[in-house]
Amino acid sequence: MLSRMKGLLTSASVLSTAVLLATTAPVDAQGGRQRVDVAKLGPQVGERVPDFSLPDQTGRVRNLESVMGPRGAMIVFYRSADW
Amino acid sequence: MGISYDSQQILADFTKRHSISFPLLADVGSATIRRYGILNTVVEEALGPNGKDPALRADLAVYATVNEPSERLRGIPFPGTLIVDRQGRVTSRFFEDYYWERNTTSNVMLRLGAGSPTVQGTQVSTDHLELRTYPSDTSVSLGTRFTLALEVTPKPGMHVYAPGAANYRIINVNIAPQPHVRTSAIRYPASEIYHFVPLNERVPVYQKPFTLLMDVVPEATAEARKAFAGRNELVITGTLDYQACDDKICYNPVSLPLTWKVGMQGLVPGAPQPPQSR
Repeated sequence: MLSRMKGLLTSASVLSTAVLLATTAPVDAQGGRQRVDVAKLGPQVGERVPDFSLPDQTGRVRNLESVMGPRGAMIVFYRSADW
Repeated sequence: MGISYDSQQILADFTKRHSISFPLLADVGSATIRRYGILNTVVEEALGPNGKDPALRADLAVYATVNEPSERLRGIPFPGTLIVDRQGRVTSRFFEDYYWERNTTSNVMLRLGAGSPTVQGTQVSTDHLELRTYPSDTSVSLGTRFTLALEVTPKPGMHVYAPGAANYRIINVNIAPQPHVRTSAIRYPASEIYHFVPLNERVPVYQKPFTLLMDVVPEATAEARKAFAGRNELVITGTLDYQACDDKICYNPVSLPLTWKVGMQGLVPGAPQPPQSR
């Protein structure tokens, strides 16, 4: 582990390779796959969600404000309405 | 409202077929899904150079598909729901660990405390409390995450014990295990502190009406589909276990047997099927 860390610290190219690997295939310290934790993905409770500007099914461009009801909004991310 | 990577045309067609009355947004190219940080990265990996890695394939079967990955999966999110307030701040989140599982609307409403569904409940009265219990949904499919609600009203002067109470039996729901049916931990509401003067004890209890919730999911795996084939009812049995006390007496612990029945859809030949694996 120490030698691996040394390698990372002394070689910029190793570091950039490591970063590249980390973004394409997440690995944990043991070299196995990092567990996906959906609870940690995306905006957390208390955080503000990003705004957006997207057409709805009628072609009207919507942002967060325009989909708000009197008490807020429910944003459902789903896979597809096509299959 | 919903967001997916589908085109406006596909969403317009879907809206017509299903009489949708709320906005469905067309995030073609998945830029918004990406900005929200919920792009399904397992799919992206499976379509990349490491696509055959067995550990990755195991994740793919949980988070995207049990079939071979195809290009149409590229750009899908990890499916989930965010509830936001008027300021756009998240107040609740519902994300699933298995791609084929979904909360029912009634389950979400119950968990938000936004009203109970109009389903028939079972009423039970004991010496210490009144219980009304019901499943959030009268009928489910494989992969449907519904909830069992237990509305408990302690009788006047009575209290039951909440999580954190030492030396007393905390109110609990024990579900009899059955194959291919998963249950969650109980969701307990906030309790109050009861000061038992004779012993100068301060204990977390429930004295006012409260509701316990416990999620149930009939699994949608190939084995589960085989096991449930032809069934049109799911029967869940269990007990409500508690100890009740008043300001003088602690009564014997009670174990109240309970049964919940929900219809099962899509398991009888000819009926619409849930997503199939090959």
